Amino acid sequence: MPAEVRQYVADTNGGRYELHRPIGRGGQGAVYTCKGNPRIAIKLNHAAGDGQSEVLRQRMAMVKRMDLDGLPISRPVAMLARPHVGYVMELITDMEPISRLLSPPSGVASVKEWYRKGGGLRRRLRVLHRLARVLSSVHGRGLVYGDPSPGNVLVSQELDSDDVYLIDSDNLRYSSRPEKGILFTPGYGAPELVLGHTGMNTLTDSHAFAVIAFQVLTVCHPLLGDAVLDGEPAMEEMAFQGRLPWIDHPSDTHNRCRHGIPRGMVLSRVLATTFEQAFNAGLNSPADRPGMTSWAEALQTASRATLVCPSCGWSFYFTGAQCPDPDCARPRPRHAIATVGIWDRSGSGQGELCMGPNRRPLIVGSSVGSETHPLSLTREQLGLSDAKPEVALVVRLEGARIAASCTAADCVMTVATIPGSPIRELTEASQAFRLTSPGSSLYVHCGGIDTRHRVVRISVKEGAES
Amino acid sequence: MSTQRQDFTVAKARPLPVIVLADVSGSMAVEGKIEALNSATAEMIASFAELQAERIDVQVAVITFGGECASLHTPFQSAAAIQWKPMAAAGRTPLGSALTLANEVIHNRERLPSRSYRPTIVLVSDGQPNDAWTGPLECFIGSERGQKADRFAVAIGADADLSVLNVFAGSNTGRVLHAHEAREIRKVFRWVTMTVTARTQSINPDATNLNWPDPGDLNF
Repeated sequence: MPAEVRQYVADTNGGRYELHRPIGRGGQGAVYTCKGNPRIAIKLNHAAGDGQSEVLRQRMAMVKRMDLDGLPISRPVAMLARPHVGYVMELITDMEPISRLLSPPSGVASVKEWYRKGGGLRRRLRVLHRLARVLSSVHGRGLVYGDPSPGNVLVSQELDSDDVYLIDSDNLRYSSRPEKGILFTPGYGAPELVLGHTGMNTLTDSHAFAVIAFQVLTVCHPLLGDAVLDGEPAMEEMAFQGRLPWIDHPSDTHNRCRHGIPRGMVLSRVLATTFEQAFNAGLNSPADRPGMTSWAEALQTASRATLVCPSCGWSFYFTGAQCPDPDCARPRPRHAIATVGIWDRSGSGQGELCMGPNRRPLIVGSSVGSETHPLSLTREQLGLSDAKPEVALVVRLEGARIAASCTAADCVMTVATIPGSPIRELTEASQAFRLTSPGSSLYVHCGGIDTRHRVVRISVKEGAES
Repeated sequence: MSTQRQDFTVAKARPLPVIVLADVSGSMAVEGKIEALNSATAEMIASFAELQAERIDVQVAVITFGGECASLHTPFQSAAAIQWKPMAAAGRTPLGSALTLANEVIHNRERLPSRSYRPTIVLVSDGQPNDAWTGPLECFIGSERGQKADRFAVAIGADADLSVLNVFAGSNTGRVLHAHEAREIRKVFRWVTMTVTARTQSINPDATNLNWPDPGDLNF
């Protein structure tokens, strides 16, 4: 057994820390946890020297002045004292790098099992949605995160949590003050950064995010196909410079990848299109890349459209007729779909969902729940004015019945048990009843029934087996 | 040409080979040298095992030369998979035999396919080779992978044959490092670890870097 290596660093305020484990490594250095203090982490840069130290000190002073309130981003606490170059940052406990979700440990017996144990598709989509939201807020404040990478993004160790936390904030920049400089993590730098054409900006953030998202969902790198993986190392550099087609290019098959999770299992149609936009048109044309808001929307829509297989726990899109795990293939279970739309009284006398030009409801969003995984919607999802993230509506499928519980005092529930029949207002906040499917619906009105307002329609779809 | 899809598999990481050629002659048995070399090597392997480079697999082989001929003490394998067994020192300094074996090991295409990164090779010695070494040395440093490698030579103590080590390191990316006493071996190995780690974090791990900081300038 090797002798344990103890390494100590000190900060300029006299604090002394023992480095524990590396959380992640980036272009400039590594971030370590600290022995005996789970609330901080230490960034230690490879390069020593007073020049480096001064640059870092100025950057940290700038980051400390930035408005990061309410964002899950670690703030720098103190500079390391000489001879080390680096800083002490805040950390929150029970988080782990997202790298754990994007590549299985070497020698893992079953990639599928590993994927499922990491929370499967549904949790991956939720975590990525949160990350997209955070980056979108960073951009909204006129900032650039700089180096999104699998080591800099932490996710909760709890599978039922989709919290994210960004560390290594010394790369934050004002987007109004572009700086040249090639600081990025290999594999995540946009081609224009790799080629040294530009510095970091919101579009290089978007590229790095898209790479992380693709890896988390499919377990392959979007630019590393078989031609690169089996070829000489120099091919990798070409790929990162954007000189090869991406692995799922619709017509150019030179860089296909034989590995990974089949795309049809994990990418919704909108997500597949968004990735195509990011890595085909957007690869070498930054302005064509989807921005963080588009990513957030696409990921949210996708995550809300997933069902969890009651037999094997794999999560999949409710549009599929059966669990896509070939070893399970259980028919899609009975499920409830919540469709958020606008209630309109102008057409018929009593009101209905607003119809679009193709005679389909104008859908703002939808969510799915099943017997094993109830459907729950937050005030934010219901579109209530305060937009709080607390759950306001829970719908459970209980055999042939549906139990709805609405805790939002400003909402009214109505039901139309037979399609086209008059709606009946429900007086209790929690009620269970039978919905004859297809066609009967429960409505949750987020506003007075006589006005035009947002409404959630809940209908039950029988499983594919019946 | 299209390859058969292999659903639910992941791409194998690309090997980055590190080979240690360790002098385990009788002279290494004194002054704590072999103990220091053992712990420095084990520490280096443990650091590689902790690297979280998702696309790179640092693989280590250790060739020892002592007694009458060299032997493959640790065959190439991922750093994380190595169960380190300490080396013991005794006998002569058969460097030629070690270089011949190293040449075979780095050119074994089954163990190291062409997709591998170029190797880092560390030759550690505290004395004079005493077999026919000139031919094997020229052959090794002129070989396809030998010439592309980062070749570092570690001279332990005052008796190390610098002329041999200088030829081994060459004038390109190589370097001769000095461990004046046993406890400095660890520092030199940490420096080697740093160069490999830096390669795994770089945009092009195969690019040659002539600007490594001096071991004395690094904070370990």
